Amino acid sequence: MSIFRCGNGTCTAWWLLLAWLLGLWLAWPPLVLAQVDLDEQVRQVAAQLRCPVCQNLSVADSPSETAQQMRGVIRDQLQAGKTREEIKAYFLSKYGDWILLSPRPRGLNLLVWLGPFAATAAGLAAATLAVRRWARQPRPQERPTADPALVERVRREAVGEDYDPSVADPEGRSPLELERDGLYAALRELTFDYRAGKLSPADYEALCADYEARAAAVLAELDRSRLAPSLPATSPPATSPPATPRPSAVPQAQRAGSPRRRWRLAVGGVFLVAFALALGYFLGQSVRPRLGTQDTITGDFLTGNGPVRSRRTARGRRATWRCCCARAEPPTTDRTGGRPSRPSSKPWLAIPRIPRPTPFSA
Amino acid sequence: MTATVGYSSLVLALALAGWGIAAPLLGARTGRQAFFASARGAILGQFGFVTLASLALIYALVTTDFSLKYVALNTTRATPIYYRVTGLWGALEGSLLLWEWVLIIFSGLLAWIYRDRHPELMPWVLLIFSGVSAFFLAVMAFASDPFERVFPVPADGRGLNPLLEDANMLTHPPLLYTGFVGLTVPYAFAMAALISGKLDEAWILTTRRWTVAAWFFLTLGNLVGAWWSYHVLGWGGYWAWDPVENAAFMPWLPATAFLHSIQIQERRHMLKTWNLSLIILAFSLTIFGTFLTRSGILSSIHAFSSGPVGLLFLGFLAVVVLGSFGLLAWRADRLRGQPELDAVVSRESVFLLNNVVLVAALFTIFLGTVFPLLSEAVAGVTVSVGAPYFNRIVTPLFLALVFLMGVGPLIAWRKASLDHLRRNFLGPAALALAVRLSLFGWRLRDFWPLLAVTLSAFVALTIGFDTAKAVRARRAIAGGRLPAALATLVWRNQRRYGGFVVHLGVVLIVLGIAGSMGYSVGREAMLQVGQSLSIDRFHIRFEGLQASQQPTHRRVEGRFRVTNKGHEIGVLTPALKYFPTQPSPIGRAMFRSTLLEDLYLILSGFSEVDEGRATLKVLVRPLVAWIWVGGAVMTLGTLVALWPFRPRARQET
Amino acid sequence: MRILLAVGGPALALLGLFAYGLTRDPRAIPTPLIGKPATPFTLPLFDGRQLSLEELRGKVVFLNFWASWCPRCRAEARTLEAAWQKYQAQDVVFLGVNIQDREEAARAFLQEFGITYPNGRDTAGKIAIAYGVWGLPETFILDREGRITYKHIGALGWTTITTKLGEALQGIVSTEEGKGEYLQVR
Repeated sequence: MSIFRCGNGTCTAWWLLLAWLLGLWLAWPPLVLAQVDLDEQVRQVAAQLRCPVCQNLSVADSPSETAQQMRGVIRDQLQAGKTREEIKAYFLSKYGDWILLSPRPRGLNLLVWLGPFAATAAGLAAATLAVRRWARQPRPQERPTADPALVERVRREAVGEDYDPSVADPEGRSPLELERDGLYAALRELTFDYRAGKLSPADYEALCADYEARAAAVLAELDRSRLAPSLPATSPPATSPPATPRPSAVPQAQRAGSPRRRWRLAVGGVFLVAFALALGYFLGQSVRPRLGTQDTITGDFLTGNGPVRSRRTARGRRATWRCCCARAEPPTTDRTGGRPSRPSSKPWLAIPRIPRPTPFSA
Repeated sequence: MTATVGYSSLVLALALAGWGIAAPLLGARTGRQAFFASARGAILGQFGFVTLASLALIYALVTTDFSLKYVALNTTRATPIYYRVTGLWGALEGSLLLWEWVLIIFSGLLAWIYRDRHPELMPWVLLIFSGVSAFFLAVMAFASDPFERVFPVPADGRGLNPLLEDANMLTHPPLLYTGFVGLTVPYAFAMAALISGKLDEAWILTTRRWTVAAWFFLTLGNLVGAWWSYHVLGWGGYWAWDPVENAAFMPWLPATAFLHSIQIQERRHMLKTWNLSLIILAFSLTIFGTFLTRSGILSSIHAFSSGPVGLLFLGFLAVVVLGSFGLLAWRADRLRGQPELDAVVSRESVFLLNNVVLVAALFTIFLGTVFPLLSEAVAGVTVSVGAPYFNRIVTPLFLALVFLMGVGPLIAWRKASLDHLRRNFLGPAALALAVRLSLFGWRLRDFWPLLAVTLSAFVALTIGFDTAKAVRARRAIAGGRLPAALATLVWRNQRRYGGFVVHLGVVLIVLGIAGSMGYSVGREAMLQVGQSLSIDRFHIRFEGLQASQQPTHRRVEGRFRVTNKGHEIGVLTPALKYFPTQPSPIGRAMFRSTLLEDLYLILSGFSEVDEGRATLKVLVRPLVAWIWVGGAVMTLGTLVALWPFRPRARQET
Repeated sequence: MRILLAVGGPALALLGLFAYGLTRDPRAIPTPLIGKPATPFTLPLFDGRQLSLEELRGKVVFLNFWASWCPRCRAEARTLEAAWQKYQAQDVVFLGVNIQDREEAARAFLQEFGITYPNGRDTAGKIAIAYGVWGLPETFILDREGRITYKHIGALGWTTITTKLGEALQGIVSTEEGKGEYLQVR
């Protein structure tokens, strides 16, 4: 028995109730505690303004100096007798719309105030329409009266061990078997709920009969498919398209083939040797013994030591110096710890890089 | 050497990722099995190389190898070792490496666990993983290299951002990244199902546990972030509706909606397109989150310094959104089912409502986050959308969700008769109404907190009533004592009771938020030594300032003695920390937390001229501790739902 | 197909919006003050006098907010002093307002750069808030009637100073505010 049966005004009543609730949502004033003292008033005004320093906190919450000064200004103005709206208008005139944490409801800002309301209403409407349409589908009612033998079988098997279809491995079972097991689980849950007193006997009977009928139909289907030898019970689902090349069923066949395997090992070995040779060659090309204390192991392969060839390098060097070296001790020749200086070169793989803007922008 | 090892590992991993994308395509083209096997090898190879690169960077950080620019910018010689390790994710390049590492760990696990199963799906799953991995590796290799070198090598580094020097740095980013990356798993399986055309429920059943785990990590990551904001940032709040906070929260909403509506798909084979859309949306929002944090389009305390990375992430976001929905559109006709419902009032329709509310909340938060940009682009006016707006608009949606949380788990599948509703809900509803009336009489009259408490009571009561009936029934069937009956019940219905515990956790969080948002009081005053400030029941006496030099900063502490109606509670010492690299001091608030309320002390400032003067800000926030308790309860609930109680279950996932 | 249109359209619009977002500075606060009359204030100067903005009516005022810990203010200090020397005779007054700073540090700054134009301290921050200051350094140019003709945030270069002072002397109000590299206030 559905309580949302429409017509004779019930539907209209529900829609009106919904509209009232949504309107309440939009129109209800925000929570305002009884204001008692100046401190609380300052806090309440400041809570609506955005701090220009910690930009995601309100002036009331922000610990920054500017926020403290703004709270002082608010306090002075409150003591001078200005209203909250006047104080907000003052800040608005100095900083613009940015300073308000809640956009004023006018112009394009109406989108952000009405948008959620409209989206929820649209979502609810769509859901209601969908549910009503799906619930009105002509039921395939004409389930042929279930074979009593099958229903008996259902009752017997459903009482068996616990099986939660959502937990078990889906791969070993066909969709029909999964369906059957799901219906059995639903039957067991139903019986337990009836024992727990959550259903009336009438409801229990009705739902039980429904589930049993469906399970019987599935069992019949399963028996039919088992009898037909061309369709084994564990056939893969019928929805997969023939076009998708089915990977051949036995990957193990590959592993057994030893000529294939040896060949692969050989290729791998050759590749590894070639890689090592290449690595050795390039490393050898790019490093050499130091020629002096100010030299580096890669010599003029760097961008750090030689004359500055591009403005970008010069800018980068200045930025590096400003950031890291201005604070650090100047590099000495005798460095305790003896870590050799490393080049800031392009890696020897010479892969093109996307240029960065000035580094160290905090 | 470390830099060479690290960078070349990344490049080699990128090459393997390229092969990981090409191999399944070639395999599908030619039909040769070897290609699919080599895709798996590509993933495992990437795992090896990316782990090598991550370990290289950690090694460089731990040994303070300042020839790497990343190390020079994020550590100093004086930084303790655990902060050096967390420096791995302290800045942009390292955080990309962390994301990539977590991603490749997940894909390696999947490749290994499912190596002999789901033969039609796995190649495409691995292709998606290789694709996402290739993107992150390419960004690191070409645009923002963690192994970039600096010359001349500085003698000391610049140091971690002082705000990040906190124990939560060890937990919050890894948890959050695990949550984000975990959502890639159901996404990859969904895409694989679409590509291969195998559109039954197999992928959902397989990935269910992964999705719940990812959802759990996302929840925990957000809660730990709120905890960090509360006890470190020193403004006394836990959620500022900061754009990056919103971006971390937004994937949680479609993930929650997905976890509920797949139950409809499992039982009724309906809503396939909707579920696929939800999971695509969740994954796209995680990419949007990283885009927001790294592009600098919205100002946020979390934003990394930007570069060309923003544009690359935008491109990737475009590919993900348009590509995924394009695939969905291509297979749309095959997904069309025969949706049917037995009745309008049933658990299916309640879950649908749940989805509507969650997606409406998502829309609201997204619109609010993006609106300043929209306003500037369209109207040329710069506006702000902040906490007052979000609190006002989002609260009713979440309260509606709380109500649905009470109704959903109890109402029957398929058809809920009036009698059924009466049996299950009349009791809890009546008691909840009684609670409301008594609170009203006790002078708690404000609309929203009262509604929140009423609905929370309703949910708790429905869970309590249902569990009581079930335990009674089980004892009637099998005898035994109460704890044993409860244990059997939970063991047999993991999902259901895990869900109950999670809902209870959410209810506790709602109570904590309602109490602290509605009834916090605060005062700020300038105090001389010996002067007191009173707020609520507390009396706080200023005892003096104390300056000290710490390894990384100079610290000025204020001593405040707190008494509660005459009983002395103790001395709290909020401080201001002066770091050499920061223009303004960073506050360290101290608070005393009980289950009833939190007393929060912030040292706003002090007079440099007059030694004995300080400005103190005090907040009393009721019920905040329940938020963290609720988080712990949600953790427990998720464990209950996921724990492999049954040996049979060990076969899968 | 419907899915693609329903999703693709808004998605492309959003992506375009984000691309636009990449081109702007998210922390910038555009000012509503250009063209409006300047708020009057009284500034206690470093040499002990009190200077009120009303006294300067009839002259063009170059109002500069600075702090000694701000590197950009240091960068532009000598330029400003040179501009002051040039425009002193032409009915232009340079006025510096020191905010969020300590007195010794401010005096040291003035001495280091040899600043001769009048400077004062805004201790409570009221003047800074009255001009919507959110970054350092910020400069406002007021014309003879006391209207704000130009605002610049960030260090100023010589060309901009001369151009904008020239405009203000003729009473032209700028259409856009200027932006350079800035630091945020504390």
